[in-house]
Amino acid sequence: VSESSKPPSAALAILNFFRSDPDFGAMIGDLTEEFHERAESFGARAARLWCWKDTFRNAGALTMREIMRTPVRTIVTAFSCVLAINAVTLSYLLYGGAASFNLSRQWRTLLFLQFITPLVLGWVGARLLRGREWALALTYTAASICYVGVGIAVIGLAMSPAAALRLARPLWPLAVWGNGFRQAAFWLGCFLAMLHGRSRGLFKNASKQFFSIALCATIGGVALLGQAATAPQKMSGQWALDVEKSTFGTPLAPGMPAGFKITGQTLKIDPTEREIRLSGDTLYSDSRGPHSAHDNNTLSLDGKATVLGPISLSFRAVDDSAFEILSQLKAPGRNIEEVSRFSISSDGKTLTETKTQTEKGNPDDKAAIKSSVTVLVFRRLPEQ
Amino acid sequence: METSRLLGGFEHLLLLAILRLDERAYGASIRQLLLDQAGKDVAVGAIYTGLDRLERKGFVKSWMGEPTAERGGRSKKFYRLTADGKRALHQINHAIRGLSAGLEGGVTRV
Repeated sequence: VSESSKPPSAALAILNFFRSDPDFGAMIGDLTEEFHERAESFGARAARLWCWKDTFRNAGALTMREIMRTPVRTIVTAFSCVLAINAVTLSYLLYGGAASFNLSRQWRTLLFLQFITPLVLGWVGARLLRGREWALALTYTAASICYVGVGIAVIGLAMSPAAALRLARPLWPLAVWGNGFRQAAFWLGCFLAMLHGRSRGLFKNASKQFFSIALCATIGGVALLGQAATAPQKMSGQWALDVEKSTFGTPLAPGMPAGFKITGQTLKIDPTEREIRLSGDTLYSDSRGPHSAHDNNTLSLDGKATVLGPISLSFRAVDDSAFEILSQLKAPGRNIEEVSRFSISSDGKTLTETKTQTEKGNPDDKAAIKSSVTVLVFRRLPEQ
Repeated sequence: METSRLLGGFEHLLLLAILRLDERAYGASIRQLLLDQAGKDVAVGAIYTGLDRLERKGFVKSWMGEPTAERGGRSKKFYRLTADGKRALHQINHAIRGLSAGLEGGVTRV
């Protein structure tokens, strides 16, 4: 049999991808026989065209056959995978603390989870449904569409369409990318499981190595990216001073007006990977009446000092729920050090800044002349 | 008729094709017969799906033939009707004849 009277090898490879036992060999034999007859009667080109058309028809037929072989088991496995992937995502959000979750900073971790979890579950699910990997992947996609449909229906029932659109708009890119990642990864997991199931030797070892690496990457990735929930990131957002719960010491800074009293303050903490930006507006009053002031400082998270005239500021990490800002004022005849310790409550709703000011006689003298402690209590403002 | 082993329309056609082809019934020949006699262009994958279902119902029995060069060295999978298959075919044909009796005019007008 000449090469020209053989079906295109790419078409056979595609069919092999959709293979359905136990009669797949006989089916390919029938296809080859008919191709041979058509090539003799109508020419090789017409036979190839027919073969390609029939390849896709057969792919559809074989997929339906695999789904219908054990429909309940396939559907249950696919839905379980959909629910498990959503459970992992939800666990991450809860673990990170829903109140302190920041989409703009934690999207990488979320997308990573949307890839690695479906990849592993696709592999596991496909291993449970050997020979029906392709059917599982297709059913998973259908199950995901149903799940999203139910979610949209629930949102539609709970709120008006306009409110739902307003709520969902910032999440759209993440939802699109996340679902794209989920689908791609799940199909990849099924595909690798299928190749693993049909191969011997080299690929089997290679796929074991691949999954060992994937597992390590998952653990390592979650550990590394999970550090997104460090203290500054937990505190990310806007805060309002609770004047009644705060206690004010006597400020040691030079030039403080008589009768100085803070009446209100808002604070915005905006951390990035390398920096933390603290900005805010303070309302205060003194003997001359009420005033307001705006502050905006950006500090490097590596502890490098930021110098602003006579004041130098630096960041110091404490643990995953606290950090400190050290400031030193060097003015003629004055040497004042201030340590502002920011700590967040376990529920993520309260931020406490404990500001300890110490005045020393001269830079070399460690003995304090005066000290003052101010405790500012902030409550989290809803994100706009 | 045993309701648990009802025949679908496509399965009915497959049984008729196997009966007509006798000992030469395999995927490609059944496909060709369905195309020539019933005007149905069915993918061979769908034919094997139907045959697999019929075999599990116990209506057909299969065996492998010899591999040939024009089939790329692959064997044919032949099918024949079992006694249950013949009975089921008889019953469905009987039911169709009974239900169609006196409706010939109406059926041909469609």
